[in-house]
Amino acid sequence: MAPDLPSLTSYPADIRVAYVDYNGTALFTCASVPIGAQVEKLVILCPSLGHEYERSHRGLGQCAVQLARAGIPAIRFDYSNTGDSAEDPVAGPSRWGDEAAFLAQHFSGVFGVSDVTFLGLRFGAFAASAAAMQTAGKACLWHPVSGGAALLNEWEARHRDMNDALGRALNAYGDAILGWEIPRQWREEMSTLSLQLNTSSDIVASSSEDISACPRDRWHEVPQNAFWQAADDEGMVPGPAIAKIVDLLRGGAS
Amino acid sequence: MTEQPVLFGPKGNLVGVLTRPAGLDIRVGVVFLNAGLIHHVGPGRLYVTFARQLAEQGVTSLRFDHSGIGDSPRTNDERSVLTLHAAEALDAVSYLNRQGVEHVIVFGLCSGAYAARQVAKANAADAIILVNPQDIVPGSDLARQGWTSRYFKKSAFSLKSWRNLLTGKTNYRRLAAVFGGGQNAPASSSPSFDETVETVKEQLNNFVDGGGIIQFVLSERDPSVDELSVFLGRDLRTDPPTEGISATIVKDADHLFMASADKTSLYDEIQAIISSVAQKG
Repeated sequence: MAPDLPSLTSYPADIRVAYVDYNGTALFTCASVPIGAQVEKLVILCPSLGHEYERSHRGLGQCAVQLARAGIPAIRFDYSNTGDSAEDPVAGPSRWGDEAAFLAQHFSGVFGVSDVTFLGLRFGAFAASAAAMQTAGKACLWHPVSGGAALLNEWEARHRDMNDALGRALNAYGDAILGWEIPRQWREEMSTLSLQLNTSSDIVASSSEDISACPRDRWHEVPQNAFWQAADDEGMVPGPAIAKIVDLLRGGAS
Repeated sequence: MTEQPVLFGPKGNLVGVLTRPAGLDIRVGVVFLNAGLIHHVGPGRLYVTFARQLAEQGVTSLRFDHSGIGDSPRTNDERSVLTLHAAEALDAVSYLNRQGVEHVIVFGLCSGAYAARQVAKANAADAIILVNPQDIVPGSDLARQGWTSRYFKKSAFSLKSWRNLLTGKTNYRRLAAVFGGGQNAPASSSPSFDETVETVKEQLNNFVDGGGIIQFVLSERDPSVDELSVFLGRDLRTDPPTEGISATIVKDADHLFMASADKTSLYDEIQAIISSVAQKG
């Protein structure tokens, strides 16, 4: 039976930007807000990291706008030490789930709702999953990375390719991978991360079934176009994938 | 240092972050323009890093997204993307002026250099810093001539997948294409494409003659070196200008200044311009 979807009204979307204080660290938030909608749920978007953060920013932004048009406030944010958020010398990847959980609590109060889904893209799946566990919320994991170590290996290989092309000494880049600072502390934390699905509430939106712990009924196919790897100037927006994810989240897939 | 998200512009749709010094304020400000479609944190978070370093030295800055880029929503605006971006760069300068900033420097990397140049044309800033400008005169033959010159000097790049990082590919037609046809798509008859090499040279010279500072910063491997050499009529690698418009070439740097030392070199150039502007004060 088809789910009982909300009406297909397309609301105008507004933008609200703010810094939200998390234990003394200012986190940059950008909310896409539906105007005139009866808000029943909200989505916290957990981005990927490094060059993937930069290259998927436009796609995630468009996803947030589409969610808002469907009546769902969508909050994008930058983890501490990334994007526009403040620096915190002790914060790293293992804390970013806490930040997402905190923002869920904050924006639940702002919008007066308790139904929160954490949408985590690629590396953001770790934060989304951790935040959902902390808050008894739901997570939608979009092309999730299953292990931090494998992702790090992938990035380092690409960095070496780039370096071969540029002909620079590897130490010219300091702590950066593909132009983005990934300090040693983060790399150590990333290496220990392994995705833990809550099989009763999390859903996976992916093009493959490579997460063995994901039950078939929790997995939803979305087109793969690796927009997080696209060139900066392509502005790639994964339209069909976004449409599928908005449908999933509107219908309360869980 | 304080940071504050802001919405500004006539339609209130331009999203930016205003970074202000906590103590010493020398009333000099920097506007950072989008590099192509990269949002206002800048490539490799360059603008955030620079903004915070500048604040420690008493300099205010605004990094923001043009309409339809990053966090700023598109608007129903019939102007071409070039005209729109130029107008929005001027809006950003005005916004900084309203915050008490007396002397403004506009920083444009890659496609951002076009809008920065338009600010100089309007004589609305004290200095512009143009970093690896692509298509400095959109619609002209300069880029092709630059590439032709380059072809005879250097071999083609061997690893195609990384060519973008070496050279950048953001030209204005490509940028406009991302915005879709019709609205914001520059037609060849757009007034913005009516500029000629000579009129652009005249604009830049007028700005310098009026006391403005123009600093080009070019990555050694970037095709902008060749394009600008054609534009200025001198090989910048061997014969840099000694007065008027300045041009610095950063050795070994790539288009987006990804290496730590290159970032430092770029920041040093900004600091030098700030010192010059502050001294003129």
